[in-house]
Amino acid sequence: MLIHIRRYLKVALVATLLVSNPLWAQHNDSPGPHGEVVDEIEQSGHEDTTSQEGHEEEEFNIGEMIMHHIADSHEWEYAHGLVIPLPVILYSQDRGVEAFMSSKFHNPQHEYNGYLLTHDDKEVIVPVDESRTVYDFSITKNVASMLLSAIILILIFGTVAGAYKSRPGKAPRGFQSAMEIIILFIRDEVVKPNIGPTYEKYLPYMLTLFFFILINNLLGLLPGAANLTGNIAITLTLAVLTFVIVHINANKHYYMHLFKPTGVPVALLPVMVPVEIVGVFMKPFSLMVRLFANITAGHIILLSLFGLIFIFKSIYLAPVVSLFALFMNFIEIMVAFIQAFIFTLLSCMYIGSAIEDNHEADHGIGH
Amino acid sequence: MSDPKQENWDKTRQRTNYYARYSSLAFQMLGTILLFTYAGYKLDEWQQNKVPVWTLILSLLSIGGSLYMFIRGLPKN
Repeated sequence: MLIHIRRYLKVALVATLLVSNPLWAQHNDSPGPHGEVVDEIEQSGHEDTTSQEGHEEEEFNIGEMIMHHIADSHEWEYAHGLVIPLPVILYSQDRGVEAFMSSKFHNPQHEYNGYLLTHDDKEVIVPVDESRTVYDFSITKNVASMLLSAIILILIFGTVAGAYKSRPGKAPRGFQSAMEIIILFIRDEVVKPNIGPTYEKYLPYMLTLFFFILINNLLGLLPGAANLTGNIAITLTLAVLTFVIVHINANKHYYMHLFKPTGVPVALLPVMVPVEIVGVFMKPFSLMVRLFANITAGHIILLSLFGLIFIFKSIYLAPVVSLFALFMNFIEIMVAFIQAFIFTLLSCMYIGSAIEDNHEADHGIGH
Repeated sequence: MSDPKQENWDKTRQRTNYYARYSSLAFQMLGTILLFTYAGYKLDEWQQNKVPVWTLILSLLSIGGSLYMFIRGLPKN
């Protein structure tokens, strides 16, 4: 039910967003209860007005504000004015490895050492001399967030594992029991029924997948945090991992089925074989797009809700918007769990259908 | 199994399972059609056809093919 409500809300909000863009915003409102957000949005509003001085009123481009917030960045802007510089690591053939902090770009030209930090639609470091090629291995906001989540995961599961070791055979206690419920749920409800008797081999991967996505979804909901699982490169990597595991472990039935689908008339084979083969790549594609789209949509909704205050130029809207945003935040917490669960579930189903002996059993998802 | 709570839980799980299954089928259908149509589009561009023959053939074929796959993928009951 909630999923349906959410979907309608999303559609409505995105429509509002599209219709009302570009929009006008006042900058002389006194800061409301959302001082921080106001500041932040005003700031991005100012940034894009500098190039359009001719206007009588200052323009507030909500699309730009939102994209700025969900995109990756070379520095971690927690709140307006509170910016953590991150290390920039570049590799080029002629200069080798270069490393410096991103705060070096804090000058009017955004230029340092022959590199330019562009701010157009994406934050990219480009060499001033255009004939050079530079590879960017920087610790960006997303990478930093991922490292943070890795630390959190190690801490959580280090503690839990330690608790099992120190009190073997006894009932779990405290945080350990909270984790045990989730771990057992993933094992008994997701991995076991979908993969079958050889599930133990895949259990570590599935649990890692679930908790990695879950922690990063939840981290992304914190104010000022990065939008890691809403980055298509991350979801692509996860989907490719699943794809590789499926195809390393797939049995001959699975591969036979690709080139000679059973129960298909011979006349249809020239059509069906390409469709089947493309379908193999569409499974990780659907994993990738679903996680990316759900998380990004959630972020866009929350940001556009706050953007509404500036669209309607009214501070009285703030309490309503805050309440609604709070409600959406709760839903997003639920989505964080659901999406982690679904990613794991589908990975299990893909593996399960590739390793099962009887390839007739599941023409559904597995085919 | 007569525990209503357990039954409710089973139902919810079933629904989530179905949601996962069918939404992934939809994505797969969409992806297949998009990929084939794009391939047709590129072929037409390459051959500089006046009439986009390849786009037409491949998009229609992929729609038919993915529909066929989808219907075959439905549970038989």
